[in-house]
Amino acid sequence: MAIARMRKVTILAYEELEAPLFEKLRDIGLMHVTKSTAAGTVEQPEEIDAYAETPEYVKRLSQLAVIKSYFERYNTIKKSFFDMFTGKKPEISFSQFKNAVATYDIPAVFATVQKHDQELSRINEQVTGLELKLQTLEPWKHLDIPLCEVRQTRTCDTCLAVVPSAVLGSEALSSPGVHCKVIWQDKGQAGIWLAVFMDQAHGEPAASSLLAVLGGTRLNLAREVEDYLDAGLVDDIYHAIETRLSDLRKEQEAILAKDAEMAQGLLDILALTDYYLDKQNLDQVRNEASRTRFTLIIQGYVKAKQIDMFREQLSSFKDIEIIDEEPAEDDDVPVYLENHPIIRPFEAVTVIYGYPNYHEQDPTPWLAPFFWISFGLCLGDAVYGVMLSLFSWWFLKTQNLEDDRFMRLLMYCGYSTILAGALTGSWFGDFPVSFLKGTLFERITSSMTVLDPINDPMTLLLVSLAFGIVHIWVGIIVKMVGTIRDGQVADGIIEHGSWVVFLPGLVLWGLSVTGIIQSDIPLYIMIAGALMVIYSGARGQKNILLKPISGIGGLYNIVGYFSDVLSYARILALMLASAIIGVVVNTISRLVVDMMPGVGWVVIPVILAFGHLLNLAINALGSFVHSGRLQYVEFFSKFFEGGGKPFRPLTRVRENVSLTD
Amino acid sequence: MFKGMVGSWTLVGIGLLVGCLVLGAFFGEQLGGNVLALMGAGLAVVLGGIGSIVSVGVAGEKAAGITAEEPENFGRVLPLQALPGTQGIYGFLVAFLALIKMNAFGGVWPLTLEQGWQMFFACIPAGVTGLISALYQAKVSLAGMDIVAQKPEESGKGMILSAMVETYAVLGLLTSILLIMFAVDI
Repeated sequence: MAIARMRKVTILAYEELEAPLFEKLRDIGLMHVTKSTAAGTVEQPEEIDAYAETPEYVKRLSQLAVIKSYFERYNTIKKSFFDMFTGKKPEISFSQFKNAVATYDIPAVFATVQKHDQELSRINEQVTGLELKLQTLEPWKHLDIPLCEVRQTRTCDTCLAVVPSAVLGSEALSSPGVHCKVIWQDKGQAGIWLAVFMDQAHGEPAASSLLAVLGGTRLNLAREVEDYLDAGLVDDIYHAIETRLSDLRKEQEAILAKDAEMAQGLLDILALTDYYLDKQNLDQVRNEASRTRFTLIIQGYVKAKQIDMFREQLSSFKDIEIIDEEPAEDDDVPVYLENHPIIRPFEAVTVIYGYPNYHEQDPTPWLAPFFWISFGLCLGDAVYGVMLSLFSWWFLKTQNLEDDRFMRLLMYCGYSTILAGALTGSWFGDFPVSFLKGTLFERITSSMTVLDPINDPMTLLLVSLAFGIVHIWVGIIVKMVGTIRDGQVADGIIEHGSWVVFLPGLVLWGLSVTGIIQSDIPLYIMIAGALMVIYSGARGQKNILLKPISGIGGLYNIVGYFSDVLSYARILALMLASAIIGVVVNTISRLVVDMMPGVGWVVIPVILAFGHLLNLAINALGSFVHSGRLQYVEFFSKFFEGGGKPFRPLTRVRENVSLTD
Repeated sequence: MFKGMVGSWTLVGIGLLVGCLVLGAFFGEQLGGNVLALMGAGLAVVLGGIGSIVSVGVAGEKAAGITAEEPENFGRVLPLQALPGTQGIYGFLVAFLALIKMNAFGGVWPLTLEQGWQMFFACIPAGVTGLISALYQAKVSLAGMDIVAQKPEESGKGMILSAMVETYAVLGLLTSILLIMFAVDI
């Protein structure tokens, strides 16, 4: 049985047992809890909301999220390149996990993190401001007057200004009552110290009007560095600011060092996040249960095989009643796929499409051989097959995956690729012929070749289409068997059985017409099938006059099957693509030898490795999705209903870390 | 944004094709069969290439965005980005087959005008289907990345949806291969 049988379980318990019972259910991880719909229960969500405060975990989780994103600036948990594909989680030992839950002071760390965050941004702000000031002061370092003295007095206006270098020698600056000293000159501009005697007649600063004439700008450097004016000379102010800066940097470094040290606990944070997520999950699941005044009713599903274990695990609770029964016809039973270890990897293909519903067959055993063969044919190169299966084998060995179905599937598909490659004489494209001509290896490989796709694509096209016909035919048979098993024997035989007879009849008849088969039997099979199809078409039509039309109309479905079969031409196309690209890579590397005599042999391995790896990667992806498509679109459409929900027993949440012993 | 690009890049591709056709129609005699055949081979690469470059580029941008948010989804968005990349390879494959058919690596055979046109048209199916299917496949891939962002475990469905569009590039490739190998009379 490919879909695990389930028992519908109802647990009745006193309300006070709620918390320990759910924790136990989570720990044993056998039950998929569903919304309880027991009769006679009271809905009381509002009452629950009214007295419940915001649960602790909500606050903790939001604090943990802040801490986590803060810590990740300092410490990232190292992930290997492959972990990005496997989604592997960092590991934590159980004792460390327990320790973290018991001792980690989340509010304190949260407060520290917030404080540090604020301090760091304050320091950064100050540092930026001071650096800007240093930049402004830099050119004026040689000014030998204390900055606080540069100001307007009653009789004299002194200031610092920037003027174009061109006006430095002008009369305006050397006129009486004006004193000017050049402090710096750069890029056509000059910084000057300017002293102008006040013209008593005008009230406005004398220097300003002079600068306006010269096209210069007055600077108020003193205002920029107000806090440091006491230091006196610009140079001293400059140093004072530098000292302040280095103090700030030290402060910053101290905080960063503390943070880096704290961030070592990132793993604990991840573990704690899981801990509180688990609490949250448990709380949500608890809402699925319904309640009467004193009792609690939990409903869900347990695998039939595990029901005894389930009862035994819960036997410590004395005051509960467990009822298990066969799920009803209209129950939405969760689905767990359970296949022979050889078939199991192919569940990965089924699951991509979606789970079957509980009351139909698992399509996995049916699609397994077809997927295996079509993947092999599409990739179709023996060495690629070896590489693929070796890689997935190594991956399985080293990576310790939670769900290894996909990698196993790749390993199996590697085998079919080897087979297809050997039969079509493709070993790294035409490597044996182009590089190892005359060797034993070349003789062996060519003796195994049955069909050369590049020189004889028509035969391969026929093979692809024949594969398609068989595939679709099996699909209809599965549908027929399913319908009969559901008790609709007549429907199964007439509606689907007609096509089961008609399709091969048509093909065989075609073969006999072309003279490949010397027999009349196919003609009779075909006619019998056609009559059945016409009958099944007419059967559904109530109106007696329209019956013949619906009957003939039934035959029209052949167009649909025809286009389905044509879709299998992609197998040929993909096989040609990978075979020819392989040949191209070999040809290019041979051309390189011709173009660069002597050196060429050194480059060959690089070109071969790069080219063939690229070809393998791209065509393995293509082979996978297109083989998958053939299952989903052409095969599943014949019998598969789907729409099942996966069986997800209540267990501990492990989203961020995985526990080791 | 990408929506508008699909139309304009299709136009660029078709423009190139029409340009080559016009060139061949008016100056075929002067250019000779070999040039026509090479134009066809070039078009297969360029058209498929444009489709894949634009598509993989756009898909890559979004993939990077998703990876930035959740690095563990890298493995899921990568195949979605790679899917519309095959058309460029199909184009290259067709061009290479055309070159082999012309004996390009062992002293090119001189082609008549008719043979040149045959080769030209044999290359076109892969080029045009590659161009257009890659662009539209990218749209599906982009939408598929939304699946990854919201329900990472369902990313396989996005790949299959995206592969549906590629079917027609595969058929175009198959046609071009068969045409070059069997229909072109060299």
